Amino acid sequence: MTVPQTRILIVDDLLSARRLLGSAIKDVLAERNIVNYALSEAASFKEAMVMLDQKFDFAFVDLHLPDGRGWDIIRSLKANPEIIIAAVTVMDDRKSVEATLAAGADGYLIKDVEPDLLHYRIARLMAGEPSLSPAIARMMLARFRPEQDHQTDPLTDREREVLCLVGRGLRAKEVAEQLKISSHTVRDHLKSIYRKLDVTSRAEVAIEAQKRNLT
Amino acid sequence: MTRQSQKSYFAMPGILLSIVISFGFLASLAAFIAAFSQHRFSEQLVVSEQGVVLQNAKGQIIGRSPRIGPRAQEIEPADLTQEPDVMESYDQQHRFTARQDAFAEILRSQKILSITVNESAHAIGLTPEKIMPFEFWLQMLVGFAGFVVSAWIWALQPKRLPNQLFGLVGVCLWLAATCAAIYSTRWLALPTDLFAPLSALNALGSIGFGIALICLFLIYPIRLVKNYLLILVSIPILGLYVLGQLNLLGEPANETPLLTAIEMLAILVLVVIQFIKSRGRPLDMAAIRWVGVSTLIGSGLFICMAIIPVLLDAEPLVNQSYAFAFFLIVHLGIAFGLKRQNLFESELWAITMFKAVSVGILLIAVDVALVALLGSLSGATVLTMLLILPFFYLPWRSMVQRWLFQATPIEDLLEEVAHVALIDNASDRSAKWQEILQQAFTPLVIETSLDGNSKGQLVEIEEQGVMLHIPTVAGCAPLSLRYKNKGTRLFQKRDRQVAARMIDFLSSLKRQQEAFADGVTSERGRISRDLHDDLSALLMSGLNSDNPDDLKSVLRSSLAEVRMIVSAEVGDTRLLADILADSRAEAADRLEASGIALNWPIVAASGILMPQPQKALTSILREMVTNVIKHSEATEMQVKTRLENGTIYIVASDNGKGASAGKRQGNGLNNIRVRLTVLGGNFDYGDLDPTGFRTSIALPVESQ
Repeated sequence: MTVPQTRILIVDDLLSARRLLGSAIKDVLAERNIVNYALSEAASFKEAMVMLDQKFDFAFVDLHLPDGRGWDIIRSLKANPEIIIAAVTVMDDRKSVEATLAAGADGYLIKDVEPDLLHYRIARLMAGEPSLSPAIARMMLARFRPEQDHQTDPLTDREREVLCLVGRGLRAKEVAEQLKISSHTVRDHLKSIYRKLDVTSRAEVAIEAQKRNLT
Repeated sequence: MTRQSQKSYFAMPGILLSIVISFGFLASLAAFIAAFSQHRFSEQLVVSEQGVVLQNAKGQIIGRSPRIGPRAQEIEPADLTQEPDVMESYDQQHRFTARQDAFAEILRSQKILSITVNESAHAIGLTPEKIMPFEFWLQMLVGFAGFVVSAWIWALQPKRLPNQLFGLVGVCLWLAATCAAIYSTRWLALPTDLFAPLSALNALGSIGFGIALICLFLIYPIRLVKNYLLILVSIPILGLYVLGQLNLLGEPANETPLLTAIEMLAILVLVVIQFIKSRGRPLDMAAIRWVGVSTLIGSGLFICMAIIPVLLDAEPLVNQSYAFAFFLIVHLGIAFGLKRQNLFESELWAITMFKAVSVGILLIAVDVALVALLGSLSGATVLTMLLILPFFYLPWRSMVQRWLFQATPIEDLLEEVAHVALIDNASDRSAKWQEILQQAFTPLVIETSLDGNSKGQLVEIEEQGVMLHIPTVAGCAPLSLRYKNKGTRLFQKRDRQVAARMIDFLSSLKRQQEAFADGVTSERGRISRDLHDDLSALLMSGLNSDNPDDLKSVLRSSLAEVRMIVSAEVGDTRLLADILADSRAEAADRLEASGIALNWPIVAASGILMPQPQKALTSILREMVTNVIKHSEATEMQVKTRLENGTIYIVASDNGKGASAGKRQGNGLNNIRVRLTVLGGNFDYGDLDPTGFRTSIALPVESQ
């Protein structure tokens, strides 16, 4: 039985950034015992555009290319709903963040973090785990105030408990310990909560989080 | 409730004016019908040097010494007298009246009328005529126009005596002119029961006109006498009028002609007195100039041309029908004066209101005429009309409406004013501001007001409308504007409002602009302070390091600092608990990535942090984690926090190798110490026994 090939795209105009990301990604793939993969690189918006006919499983897209905007590439790539895309950046304004999330990016990666942390975050992203920062959690709680009518409350009681703990700075594992449930269940709750956020809220959260280097 | 709202509805000057004009129109219409129903022929009887002659419609003489009726009664020149007032004696008047009755009877009784001329039996058949002569229309028009102008001025301030008196002037003019129009343009004769009342009403109108003007100039523009004196003045004149009607004044010329002449003389004297009295009072001067001079010209011309010759037993210099037009001068002069100065306490809305009412009535009249026309036309013509209407009438109608309700140009001016706020240079700004005021009011003089600052911040009309005081605004000096519209008008309430609006607009724009500039300055200050305090300290520490790993860490921290500086919001206070939570999550993430366990129990910590301490705390906690990851080789990091007496205490320790064993006293730690000291906190660190490293910080927190 042949394992289907894992195809990865890196879009960045800086060679050093492509190298940095590439080696971090290769490390993560090695850790996950994935050997059958293809790593494609595009150094410009135009190069990325002509590669859109190919199918990718993961994409890491720099937002600010000299000849185009990263979120336009992300939007095109998202025509394939299976793909997981990380926007890669050093610094961004609110509009870029919002546009990127609206285009459907699954995560934000800051290029200059420590190698270990970059690796850790890429690994989590490729595993499809949502990262829910305390800022997101607090904002969700503020946004979805408990309703009198339980029918219209978008959050379940358990989700509310999870959010509350995450908002106070606990990690998923610690939340699981505290609530005496499995880490998997906590992750399922987080995914469910994340789906309930609309684009604007996600943008707000992303900006808030990025401001504090939490992404 | 209903009565009150009705009352206020009738207090609207436009409504009042519309009603009064409608009454005047109906009265004029009644007069027209009375005149129109008399017998009239296209051949004209004219007094010439050879006595009375008969002319055809083209003005050619077709016969002399005309005789009329079954008994061939001769028509004398006296029978064609337009105005019986000018006859020399009551006997003549009685004879005139008797003959008028006889002729009127002939005109009424004969179906087909013929007239014999040249003392022969040659009879000429007369052609009935349905068109009223020009003289008739002229007098009707003069009466109606005078009435409308007076009604307008009365409607502006219906409760003020001068306006009421001027209204009375118009009613009297209408009465005199309309009655005269009917009898002075009669064809040969009117029956006495129509002629006598018309003549009496004409006399009443003429004399009343004089009385109203005398009373007006006794109190306007400057009050010379008390109200009861107005009555005392009016009674004798009215008494003389009554005596005149009873033929007790000796001869007809002593009635209306003499009385009006005396009245006009009195008016002349009063106007001169008002002139003298109003010197040095610009508003009153403007009033007497317009009202007085036009009265003098109009009435003066009428007396010289029509009355004085009669008193001197001569023929009037102009036909009385035309002489009435002189009175219109009075009204038109006042109407123009009103437009330029606020006569009779009027404001600019007087003109707008008059426009609206008159054009409104005109539009209704045209609509009614069109509907009437459509009703009387055949199907095909109606269709043509319906096709024409959208192309000609309706565009005209909407054009008229646009003209009527046109916007004032203040909107254009406001745009200009907005530009003023954007000018940085104070003297350029002042110049532009003066230019705009020049456009708005076209004063002859704009000067910096020396005592302007003592006058306060309000726009004021001073020197009775000559000067408009503009207070200081947006750094422009207070100004005095003098002689509006190149010296032809006075400043009015509306000008004050326009100027106040411009000033409000300018100063609010200027304030916003300054607030924006302040914001830019303070934001620039914050960025440079942050760059200096945080970033340069970090980069300096990098300079002092030879270790590539340390350099990388310095660069990472620097980029993180730049991100914080760029995205920070001014004055954004946050909860201490939130900052600790964020830092904890970040630390857990980073430590987990490096395989180091975190033991950081969450404790309650109320209180808030200002932007600077927020940044400091976040950076410090990040730096502490960096140290553990980079240098400690530890497997666990422990963080304890406690808020006590308005200070947050944080102690972080690891089970690594400690400072003495490695290079732990990086510049990062010194940097932390400096930051905390500035914010009123403190910091220390040291090795643990037997192994490990500990950093402790204290930072003041604002209470929630």
